[in-house]
Amino acid sequence: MSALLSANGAGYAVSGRALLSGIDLAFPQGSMSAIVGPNGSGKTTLLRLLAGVRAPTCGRVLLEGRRLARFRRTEVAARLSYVPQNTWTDFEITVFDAVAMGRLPKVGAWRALRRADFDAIHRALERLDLQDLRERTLPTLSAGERQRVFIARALAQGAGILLLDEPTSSLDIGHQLVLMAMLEELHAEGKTIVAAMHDLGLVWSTFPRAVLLDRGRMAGDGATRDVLLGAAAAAAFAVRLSAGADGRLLAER
Amino acid sequence: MALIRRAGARFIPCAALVLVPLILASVAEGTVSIGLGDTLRVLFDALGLGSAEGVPRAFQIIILEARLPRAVLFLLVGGALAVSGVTLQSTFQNAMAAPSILGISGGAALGAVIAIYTGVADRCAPVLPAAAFAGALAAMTLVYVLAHLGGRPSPTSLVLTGIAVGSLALAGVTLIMLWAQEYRMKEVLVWTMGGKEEISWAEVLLACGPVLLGAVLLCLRHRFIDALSLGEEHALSVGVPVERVRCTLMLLCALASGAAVSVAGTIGFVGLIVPHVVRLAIGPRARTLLPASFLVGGGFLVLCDLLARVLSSPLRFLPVGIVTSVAGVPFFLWLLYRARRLEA
Repeated sequence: MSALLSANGAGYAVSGRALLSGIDLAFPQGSMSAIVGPNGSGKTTLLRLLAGVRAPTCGRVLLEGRRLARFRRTEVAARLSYVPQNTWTDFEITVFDAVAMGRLPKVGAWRALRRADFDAIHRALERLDLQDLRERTLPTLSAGERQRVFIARALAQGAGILLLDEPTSSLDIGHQLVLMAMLEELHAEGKTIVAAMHDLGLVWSTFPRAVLLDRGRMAGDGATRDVLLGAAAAAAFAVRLSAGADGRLLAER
Repeated sequence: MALIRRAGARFIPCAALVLVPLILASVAEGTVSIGLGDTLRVLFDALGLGSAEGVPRAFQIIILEARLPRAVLFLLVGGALAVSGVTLQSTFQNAMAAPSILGISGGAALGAVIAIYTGVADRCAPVLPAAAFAGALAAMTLVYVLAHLGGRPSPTSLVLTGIAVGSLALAGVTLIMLWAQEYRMKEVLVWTMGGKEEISWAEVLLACGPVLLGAVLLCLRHRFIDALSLGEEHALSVGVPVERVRCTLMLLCALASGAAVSVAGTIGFVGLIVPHVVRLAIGPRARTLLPASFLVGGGFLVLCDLLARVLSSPLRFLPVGIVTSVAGVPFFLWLLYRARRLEA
């Protein structure tokens, strides 16, 4: 499979301090990958580079074989939707309007929303269990509800690639499992999914591939089982990871 | 929220309707009070829909040559300042943002004051507004260039650069006022308080084009403004080219509010208060907030001008900028109080 999204020697530095360096990664069409690593390992920075919201200070990021920076922003958003980690806002927009914003790459500045746009918005609201909240404003929602709103917006965008930064960090256990099932469905529909994840249990049970980051560098990339049970993961997280008799991931210090 | 959405749809025609009696009152009242009947007869006569026979000639001149252009100009100026305020507050996610924070008002004031001090403003009527407009554009360009030194700035650093450039421009205005001869100093002082006593149709026409163009183009970008209200990362993720859009929005604000300030003088608080009041009434969506703020901002300034003229006497002239500030300061303090309460 050819890479739909890739990073070639990509790195990012602030005031001369490298937050991320030497990242070589390829995400083929229809793949489902988790980016894992301890706090401060560069997961969010990597997703920002892949989403094009930050430009790499060295190396490059390619989308469909072309430098991401060469695409217009609407062209990027038509191909790739990104859900940032920070969902707090005091902008008193309704859930419906926030999800409808996902249609911006399709409708542009002036065109009115059409039936297809409304259908995409309603499907996304339904999928994320947000129908009852559609008239509530974002500042009145809990962090988990806001997280679901922005995931719904990404779905309404209808892009082939979904980049999610800690999508389960504020979700209750029920919604975590619903989200993982939904990501599997989207994967089965042919979407390319890349998610930065903290919960290694969910990564273990859902993602076929894991990319391990440690102190801004790649420490592993491959089948989730191999990466998480490898020595690099144990060193990065300072824990011993093993597969339990019931097939679940176990961690001990 | 559904109620607010419906209120938004009704608010705009209601605000437009309220403007009619407001403008009529502004045209009829002042140091000389003209009855509503005479005012309507003169206005219908001007529109070719009736006759102004029996209305004293002096009243006709006061209405058509002095008060009507004044009301129309303040409607445009208030509208431009309010629309710019909405845009800047959303774009920079800063509740205190207004045209003055990007140095637009300060730059316009400096340009105008230089024109008055050097005497070039006396040569022909359009020189003063042209100088003020050039000052506004120069200040905004300076803010943009300085903020981008060393990389892409955050909204906060753009706002801080705007405050710095605005302060520098106002220091220049103060210095010129200290150096100016007494009669020029009063002229400068009155201009910086939005206290132009006479307004001609030529000045209205001068402001009309850029103000309406700027306001309409800002209204057409309501989706981008909403996306920016959620923050830069969110806006980028839905396909908004943040840097380019932010630059365009700043230019359009400079065009609309720079043109407004250049003919009417600096008028404080309209660009700050009106967006907050309208947002409380109809919610934050730019699609309705922008046109509603234009109408409310225009109406508010027409009302403040009417109050200023009614409270003025031949010996004690009251500039409209004083009235807007007197109305604005308590609201500004209430905003600070509310923000602190929310934080707590």
